[in-house]
Amino acid sequence: MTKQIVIDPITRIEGHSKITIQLDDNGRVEDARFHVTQYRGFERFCEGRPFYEMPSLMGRICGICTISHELASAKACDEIMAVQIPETADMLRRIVNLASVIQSHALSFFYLSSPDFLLGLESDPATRNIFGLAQKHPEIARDGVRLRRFGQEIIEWMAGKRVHPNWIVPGGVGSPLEPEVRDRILETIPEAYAIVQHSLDWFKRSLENYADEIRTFGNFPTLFMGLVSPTGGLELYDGSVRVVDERGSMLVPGFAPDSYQEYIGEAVEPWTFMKFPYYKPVGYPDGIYRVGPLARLNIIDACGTPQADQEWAEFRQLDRGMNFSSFYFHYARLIECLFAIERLEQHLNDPRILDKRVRAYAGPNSGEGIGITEAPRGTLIHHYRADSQGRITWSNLVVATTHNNLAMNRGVKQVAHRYVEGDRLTEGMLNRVEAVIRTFDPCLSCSTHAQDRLALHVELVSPDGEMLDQIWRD
Amino acid sequence: MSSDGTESPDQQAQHVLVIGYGNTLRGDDGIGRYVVGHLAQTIRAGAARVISCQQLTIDLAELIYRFGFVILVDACEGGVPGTFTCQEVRLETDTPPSLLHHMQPSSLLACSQALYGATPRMVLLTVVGAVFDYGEGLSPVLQQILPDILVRIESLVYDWVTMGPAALDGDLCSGPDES
Repeated sequence: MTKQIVIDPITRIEGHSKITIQLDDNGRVEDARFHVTQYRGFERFCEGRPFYEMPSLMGRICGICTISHELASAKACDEIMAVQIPETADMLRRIVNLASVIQSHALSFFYLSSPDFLLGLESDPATRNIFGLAQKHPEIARDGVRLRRFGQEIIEWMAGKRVHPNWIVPGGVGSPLEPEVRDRILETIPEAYAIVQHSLDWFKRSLENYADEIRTFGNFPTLFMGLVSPTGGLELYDGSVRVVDERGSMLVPGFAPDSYQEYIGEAVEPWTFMKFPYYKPVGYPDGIYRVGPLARLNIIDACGTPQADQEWAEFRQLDRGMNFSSFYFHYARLIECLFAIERLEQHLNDPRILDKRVRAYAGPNSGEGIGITEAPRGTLIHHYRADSQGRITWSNLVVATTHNNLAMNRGVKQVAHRYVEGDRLTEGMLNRVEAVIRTFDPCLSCSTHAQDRLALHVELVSPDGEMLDQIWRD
Repeated sequence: MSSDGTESPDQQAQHVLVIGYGNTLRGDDGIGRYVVGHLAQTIRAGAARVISCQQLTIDLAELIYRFGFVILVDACEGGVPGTFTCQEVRLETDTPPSLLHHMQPSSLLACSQALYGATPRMVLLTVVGAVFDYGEGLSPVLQQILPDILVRIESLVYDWVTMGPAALDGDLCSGPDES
């Protein structure tokens, strides 16, 4: 008789989901699926709203990725206005984006995943969290709190509040940077550097303890995708989209945002609310690719800042080139934090950063706009169409976590094959199945907006696994 | 005073921190934030620091451990709308905190203790709301009671400043405003 193991809900991720593991007659894993069980629908209810409301509306998609959505949305609206925003506004947007990446990576690395590293995947789940970490390793927990606060405070000081600020607007930003705010941020940078360097040191030293997880946590060849700068450097705000294959060869050196639909298709499956993007030239589901920190460090020619470049060179030596293991997402997050601190320090020390001209004003001059940024979790695409009055008539969001959906499902199956056996279930096994999802740091609040089909599928299954009836609701 | 203008933990420990939290887009759920908004305008300078936030999060531990006394202001459902109660929050180390979206006051104290080895005395003032639907602004019943809540908090602050921890020895809920 076939049996099913259900893990519901998955803990220490953003949003609500479950995993099902299908066992065969011998109790061995036959299949495994990652289901997203919440539904949001932002693409539909923004229709009819004036375009200039979009950044604030879209920022509400998520409390963690607010800045990412506001930036992608504002960039799409810049195109609807057909304006080039002032260069200082561009730099200010970049700074809050870097701060957002730092706070989000700190949340993922320290709060959500480091309890697994430091307390052990077999440890008591009741204490395997940041609170347990605070009791066993208070200095590391304090580092996590401080680093997250570093990013959040920059957002608060510049944009007015930590979550859902209304400072990022079509045409630029709402207000210029005041000198005292710049100085206050610069004063906090040395501590942030120290925390990230210290964390990189202990994490690299401990990698040998996770050899099994590195080998089996979503470790398979895929394509990788992300933004790159004009020189092929690490880029989190603007640029072109590069796609590389599993050998590191460039399939697309850099496509422009307005051609994303030539390269990215979206499939829908009946058992989850999250879509399945794929690389169109290869097709579904073979066009599996990954985005996010690991992908970004796999596609670039260099980071572009001194300290991050040094760490990146070491990172690329792990597997002598492309790194396939999703466990390395954690490592990549720390390197990106280092890059983000270096880059925002460069922007803050640029004399143009205090310029008061930070916003371009215009009405709707175009019927369409596409904005692409790199959210902490990966490439984020906002695509809008508007009527002559500037009212939104259609929108499409391709969200960071969604890009990784095929890879997350394959990763769950890989871990289930390695660690789950039907007749011996342990907490450590089940947690490893969850932990592979955590490596991707999914944000399900952001990613649930499938519209093509309401994914409700009811199955009536007999005790021996035979499907007796099924109903679809389209 | 440190170089960045903030006080040292020892200096701050003499003072009071008031944290109002809730969602101002869900009617009376935002009462805590309205309260601290008013307090920021009315309370005697230097007597207390006020913070407004959506929810309790672990990073607040880094702030609260520096203070001697923390007052939390929150909304709740159930009971008679417009009534409020005060109770001291005790340190509980056996309850795992929810980390991202909702944290209990006792868990915040536990994090303060675990991370920084210190905890303030803490009082939770809970106001029973009438309306928690989508929408901004307070219900008439909470608008009416708001001045009484401010008086109660100012009284708590005054007692702490003048009496120290002994201010919490009595019945916190014995004020004339509770019903």
